[in-house]
Amino acid sequence: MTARLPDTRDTLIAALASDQPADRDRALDLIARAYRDAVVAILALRWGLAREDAEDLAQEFFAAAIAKQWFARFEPARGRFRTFLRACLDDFARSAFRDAARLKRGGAAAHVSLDAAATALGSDADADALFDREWARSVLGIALERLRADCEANGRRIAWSLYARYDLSDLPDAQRPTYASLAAESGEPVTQVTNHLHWARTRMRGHVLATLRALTGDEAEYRAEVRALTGAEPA
Amino acid sequence: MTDAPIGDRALQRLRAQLAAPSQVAGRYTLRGPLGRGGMGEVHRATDAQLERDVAIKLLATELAAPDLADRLQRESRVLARLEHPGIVPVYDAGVLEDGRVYYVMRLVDGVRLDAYARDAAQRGVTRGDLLRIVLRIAEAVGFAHERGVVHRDLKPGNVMIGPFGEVLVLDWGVATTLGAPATGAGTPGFIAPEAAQREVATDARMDVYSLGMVLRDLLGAHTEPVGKPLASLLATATAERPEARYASMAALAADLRRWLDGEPVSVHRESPLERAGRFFRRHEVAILLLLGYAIVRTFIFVRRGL
Repeated sequence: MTARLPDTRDTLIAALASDQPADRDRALDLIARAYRDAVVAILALRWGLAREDAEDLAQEFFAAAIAKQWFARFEPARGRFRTFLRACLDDFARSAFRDAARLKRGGAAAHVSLDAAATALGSDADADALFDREWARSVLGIALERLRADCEANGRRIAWSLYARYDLSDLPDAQRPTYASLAAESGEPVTQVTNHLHWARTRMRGHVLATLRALTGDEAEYRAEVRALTGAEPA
Repeated sequence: MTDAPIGDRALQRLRAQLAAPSQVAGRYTLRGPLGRGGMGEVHRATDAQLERDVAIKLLATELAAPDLADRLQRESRVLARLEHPGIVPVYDAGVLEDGRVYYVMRLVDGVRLDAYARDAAQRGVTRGDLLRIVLRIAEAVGFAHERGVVHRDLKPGNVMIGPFGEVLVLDWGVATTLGAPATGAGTPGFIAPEAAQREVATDARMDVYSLGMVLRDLLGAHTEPVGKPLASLLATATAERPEARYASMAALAADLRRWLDGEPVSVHRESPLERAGRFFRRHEVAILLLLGYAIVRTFIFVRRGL
């Protein structure tokens, strides 16, 4: 599945406030894909939910956010979208657990387990780090889908396959393939392997920046998110 | 591939890769990471002006603390002062817009000495070859000592064997000047015992010890038995007390050269038998030829007498 992002000239705000339902839907879809895993991870860590329960509650969270147009209330001047989404999530989870407690007192089956919430663990720092990591993983995942589509569209399947074998390898450094072994496998000279990888990395950078651009409200937030993801200042 | 979630290692690498600029100083195009050290990342890059590949060492983003930036800058200046065939030349240095320092150096497409030694048998590398490498290291580091610089982190992983067999001493990030206070910098297993004490002044014999440990490491990977002269050389280089070691890298280099030339080393008194054995090994061909000639002459003489 290839993500169709809002135009990089559009901000998240413009897309969410658009009178075109298709633009709004695309923006909401992008938000859900960029933050879903981070939301699930936080619900599991902070509220002690089992993975499946966290996934269900995350689904409900995004459904509620879309139905009640929470994200349209985001104001870039007051902070980052990520912080805003975390605040929405905390409110939502608190309310879900409150409802569960009420139902339990009333004898009905609680949708969310209170016992789980009682054992919620993880400091704010742990939760922030986890949210950051999962958000980064999702953003890069979206950019990778675009890169793969880009490679296909440009007749550069070999670049994708080399990139996937080398840059996306999760093996320790010592066990990763070398440029020479990739050259032997692919039948390309080492210089060509280097060129393909360079091309893919350059395009990947562009896709990551475009994804971040589409996920942020303004230039300041965009720059802050590039710094958060890469640790470096955007060019 | 994107169907599977990105693994933690890949995630870390991708983030680090994105942290590297695609262009440095509008002149160098980064073409992928070559490796990562304690202080920064080394990237392969293309110099658009001179149309050649170079290596760029760049401070890692998560390590962009002022003291590390100073260290990387100091490393580039130290290297620039040390023009020697055994030390990678620095071409350029600067600071990125985000404050990260970098320097540009020659790209060496070689093998680190630890990996080289691991495959020594397969490569047909002899003990003499390994000793010649250690001699090249001693010459490069001895040159630095003459200019008042101590490496402080000699180990096989910090030496590169180039494609033409050149030996290059790398990673001068913790190098310091002779006499500066020791800071405990170095790698366990190679650091001199006194270098771990912070109140001690940095001394060239610390590098002598580390190189001795490198030699021990290399010989350990080799199956040939070590004779007494080489054992004495090794024991002297790696003596616990600095005063019992070679007084300088030049003295260690001289003994390595003597051993390679089949001459007696300065730290071992030979017995007459050892001397005869060494004399025989050194002049083996001439002695055998002479012996053959003597046997033939004797045979002819005896036949004529009959």
